[in-house]
Amino acid sequence: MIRPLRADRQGAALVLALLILVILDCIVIGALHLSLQEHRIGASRSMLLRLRLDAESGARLALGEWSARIDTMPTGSHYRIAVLVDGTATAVVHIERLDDLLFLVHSAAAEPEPRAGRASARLLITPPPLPPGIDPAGAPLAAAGAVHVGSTGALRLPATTDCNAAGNTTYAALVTHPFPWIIDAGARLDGAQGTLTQPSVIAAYDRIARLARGRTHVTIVDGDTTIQAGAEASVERVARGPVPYVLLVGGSLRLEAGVVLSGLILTRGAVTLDAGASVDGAVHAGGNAIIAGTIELNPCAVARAVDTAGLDRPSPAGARAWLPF
Amino acid sequence: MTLTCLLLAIVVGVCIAQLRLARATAERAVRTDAARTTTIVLAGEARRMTREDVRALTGDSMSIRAFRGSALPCSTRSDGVFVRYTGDRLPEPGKDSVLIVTTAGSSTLTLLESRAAPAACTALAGESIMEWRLGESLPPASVMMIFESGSYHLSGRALRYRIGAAGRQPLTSEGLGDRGSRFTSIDHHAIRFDIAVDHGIARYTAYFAPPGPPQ
Repeated sequence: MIRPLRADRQGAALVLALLILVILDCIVIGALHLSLQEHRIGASRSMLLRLRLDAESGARLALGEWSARIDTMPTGSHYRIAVLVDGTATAVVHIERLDDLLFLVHSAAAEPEPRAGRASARLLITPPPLPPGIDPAGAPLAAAGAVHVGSTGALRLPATTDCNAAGNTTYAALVTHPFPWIIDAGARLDGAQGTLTQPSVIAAYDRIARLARGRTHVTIVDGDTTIQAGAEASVERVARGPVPYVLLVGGSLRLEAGVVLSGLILTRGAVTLDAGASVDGAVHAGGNAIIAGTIELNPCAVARAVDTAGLDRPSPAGARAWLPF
Repeated sequence: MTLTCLLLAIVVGVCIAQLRLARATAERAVRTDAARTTTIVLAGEARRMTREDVRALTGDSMSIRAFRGSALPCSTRSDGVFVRYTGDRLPEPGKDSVLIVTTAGSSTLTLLESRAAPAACTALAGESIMEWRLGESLPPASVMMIFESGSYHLSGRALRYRIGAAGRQPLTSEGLGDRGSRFTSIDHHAIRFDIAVDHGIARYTAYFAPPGPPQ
């Protein structure tokens, strides 16, 4: 006998099965939501870190844009630069002069619109000791006073034009008129006298000494000094090292026979080179210059000395250069 | 009937399992959030400091000079200075001190009085102009930083912060592992600390303010 199908079937199995499916779906959706939340938090932190690094990079890169325009702008004024960081992102940098020798670099990086994430970095810096636009290797000797080249003296120009960013200089010395220019018979001069124009390295002595103090490969002597061949004093020994050096003397400088120095020499007072003393680089004297030895212009040595000492670059202003806000 | 009972048992079992899973997930989220907040807070605080600003470090606490703002002088008066101020909060005289930073070094002064003076100077975006009375004149070319004396504690399963002699306020929920969460070491570059996580110890390093660009 065939039983007919009953239309009113009863039972809760289907409902319960659906309920189980719903519960399992809720579990899966909840887990997926948590995963997505963690991913969003991680992505957000990654973007914040990226923006902060872009801002700091912007501040560092802006230091390479230092120019005479920034160096001479008045206190309280701003200079705006857009710096490309990491190939695609851009940081907007403001350089503000706070004081005669203190600047604030404010760099801001932001996400592309419509996102609104942003980060900023503020860096306190001191300007380059050597003002931009001044050539420290324009001649073997630059003097703000009288120049006397003795019979054994020589002011020589380089044999090549390597490292000479200013071109092929032809001046044996740069002098300030109307101070006397005395050349003894037998002195060797590879060029004529030129005029010491402003701004000059000599005029910037105070700034260079103040900002370069404590830097590597820079020796600063306050007062008169005499350098003797074979002397064991620290100034002389270091100044004669294999790396071209920057020597700043707050008074007068005398180099005795047998002394050989390489690099940039800058004195506030007079310079005296005895016969047999030699300088391979450039000498700038704030007073008279009495030359019985040899000064051979070496633009490469001067450039290396300036670069090693960082005289042509801005510098962070102390251990707390990065302002936290 | 049998099938219904079986399915009913399965539903009950799934519900109980889901409750347990939800509870475990919530607890893990609390622990993760506490650990994340701890690392973010300590890393952010360390980035504002140098080694000299950490006064003391023990296993469960770190006493620091906590910076809350910086100010650039823009004008002076006979007995005060106008500043462009940026920071987490406004300065509070009597509670905050001022670190005077120059290229030659730093010194501290007490902040005697602080009030808004919006017309005294021109502020850039994010800055407020304030008038401060410090009791001493400022050296030239100086920058000021506001700080409070505080301490962070990894105790009671949370990161806590204490200002002066006040109580320790929790900055996170109580989700850190009590055993294993501690400050471990400090040097001139960073503070190192451990946080106990589900299956072990996670080691973190919070770096101090970066050194300036090389010369």
